Amino acid sequence: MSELDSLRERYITERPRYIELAGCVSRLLEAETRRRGLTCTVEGRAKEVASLVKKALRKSYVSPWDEIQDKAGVRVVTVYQRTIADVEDIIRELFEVHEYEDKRLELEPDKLDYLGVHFEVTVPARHLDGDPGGLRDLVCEIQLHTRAQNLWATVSHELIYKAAQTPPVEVKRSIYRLMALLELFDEEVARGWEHVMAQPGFQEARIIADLESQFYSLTARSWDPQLSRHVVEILRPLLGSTEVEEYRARLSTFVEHNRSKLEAIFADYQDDDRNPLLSQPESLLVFERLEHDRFQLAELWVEHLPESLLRSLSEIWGTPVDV
Amino acid sequence: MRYDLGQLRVDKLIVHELPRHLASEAVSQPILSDIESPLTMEVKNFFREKIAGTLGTEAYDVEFDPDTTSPVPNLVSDNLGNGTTDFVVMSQEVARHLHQCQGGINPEGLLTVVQVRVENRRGLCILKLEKEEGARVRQETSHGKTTFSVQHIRDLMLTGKTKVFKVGLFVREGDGTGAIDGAVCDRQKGYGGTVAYFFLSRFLGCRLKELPEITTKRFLEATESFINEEIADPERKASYQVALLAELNATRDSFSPEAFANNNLATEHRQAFMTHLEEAGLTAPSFVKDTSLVKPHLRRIQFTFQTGISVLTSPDHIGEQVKVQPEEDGRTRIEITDFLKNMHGRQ
Repeated sequence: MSELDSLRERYITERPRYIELAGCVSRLLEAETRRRGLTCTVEGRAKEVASLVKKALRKSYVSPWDEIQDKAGVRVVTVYQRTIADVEDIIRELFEVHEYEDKRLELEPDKLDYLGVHFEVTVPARHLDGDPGGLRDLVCEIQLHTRAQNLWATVSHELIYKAAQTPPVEVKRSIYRLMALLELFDEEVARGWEHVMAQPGFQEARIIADLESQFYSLTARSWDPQLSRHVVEILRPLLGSTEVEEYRARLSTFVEHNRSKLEAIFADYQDDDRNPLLSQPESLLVFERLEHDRFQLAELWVEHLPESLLRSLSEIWGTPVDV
Repeated sequence: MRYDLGQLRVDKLIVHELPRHLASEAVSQPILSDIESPLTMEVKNFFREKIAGTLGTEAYDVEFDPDTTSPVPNLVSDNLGNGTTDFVVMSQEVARHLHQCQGGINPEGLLTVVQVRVENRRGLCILKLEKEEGARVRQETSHGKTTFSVQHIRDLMLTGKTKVFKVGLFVREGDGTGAIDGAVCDRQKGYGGTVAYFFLSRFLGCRLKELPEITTKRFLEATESFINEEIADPERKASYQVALLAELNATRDSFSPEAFANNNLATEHRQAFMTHLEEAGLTAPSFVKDTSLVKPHLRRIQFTFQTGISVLTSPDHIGEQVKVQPEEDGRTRIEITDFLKNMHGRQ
């Protein structure tokens, strides 16, 4: 049996463990990014047997089994470049990192290429619950990039690496040239985001952005941004001179402290549309105020918004207000 | 009740109908359900809100009366413990007992027994509801023209604006052998009336957890300490103290601290006041007022100053003959404007 055959057979035998590993890493990352309200997608997979064999053939490994570290792989794709750093922090907190590679730092300024971040990690025993699957020592690769970088990686992979024959130079050049556009895309998106946040009403917009983050960590319901702006503008005086960053921290503490209660409420009212505010992120602002000063909330509310909505939210929260 | 009513979830529910005892009829029988009512999540949510809305605004902390002849305490204890009696059978026994307790003055009604969880603890809620009337309107098309059909409905159970008048909630602390916490609301007659006695004592077999005169004294002390410790403005202090004495001297036998806060305190002080009461162990949304232990305390207000000067006055004179105002340097000015009757030396 050739070395390649034995590599193939060993991988066929052990692949179920890598499937399990990819699932485990994905679940942990998904739960934590969701808990922190980060907008991203997480996908995991174990490498196909054929891909592993082809990779071993293509590259001149001394010990292909040990050197191919992406047998289990997880891809985290963020909407914004600014989220990358937050996800990096999560990866370092959740896993043991053995290799780290940030393509942005390695690339010469006059070169255009893929800009993702790669990790090679193992899962600490505390996440494995006795490790019945024997995952503790297996390595998983995590790729982290923006949607734009992900698009480029997919396209370049199809046209350059997986192509049946080597593509012409001009095709290669055009693919790499696209990378410049995608870098610009991510930067423009980031700049646009900052610009929007600096507009009049930016404080409300930022509060809504924070509420949305926390809301999505609890439920996946779609919501009406116009209604959010209307309600948050009305309730903004309740936060006094609190800076947005300070409120973000306060909201985060509130959500963490009441996470299981909030999750239960949003699950129970998933298909109950009697109170439209329950499918809105600002319901968190209302619950937070009900918890900390329901009297000022009630006084402001009755001047601008239907009393029945607050009455119902306050009953759901368990601190009914007399309005 | 010290449990978070926002973490109350309805598991199952059963309804029994209790007709009115009429003098002309020899014996009227309750109509008992044989099975639980089918529930959607929306109906479960609706009941959860009604229970929390009632018990969160007006309820007394209660305990089972060891001398009661009501079967309810044993049925509730069993349901929240080993559960040897089936839920349906237990609820039927509760319904029969309520029907037996009721006289001709009690209106016909619906007994609803709800199995709940509160903060993941097992609980049982017993509600006495009355049938309501209403009109339902529906858009229809008649001969190609739009119209609204209006239908009179006589068997409504609860509407969005209905307040639940009589409800008791019992929650088992810890496992099946822990103590049972109870809260009861009877909005129709308060505590003092015979109807309240009927629901709390005769039907549910409960009594108040703390003697009313003790709770009233604790409330007075906690409120005065709030006024003295948390309120800086002397004018406000005086007005709050006057309001406290006025409310405690009023003839109502039920007292709601939240209503007191809403009616008498500035908005920015209300939450702090409620938190202060909670820290003093006054967590029930209402209590039965009995001023027998504090009566002398409710007649006069005494201002005591750092130098030893004291001013003693009836609350009625504050704001008129006695004016209290803050000075810029933190001292307090009291102005007394009246006809001087006499003065004399004192030890």
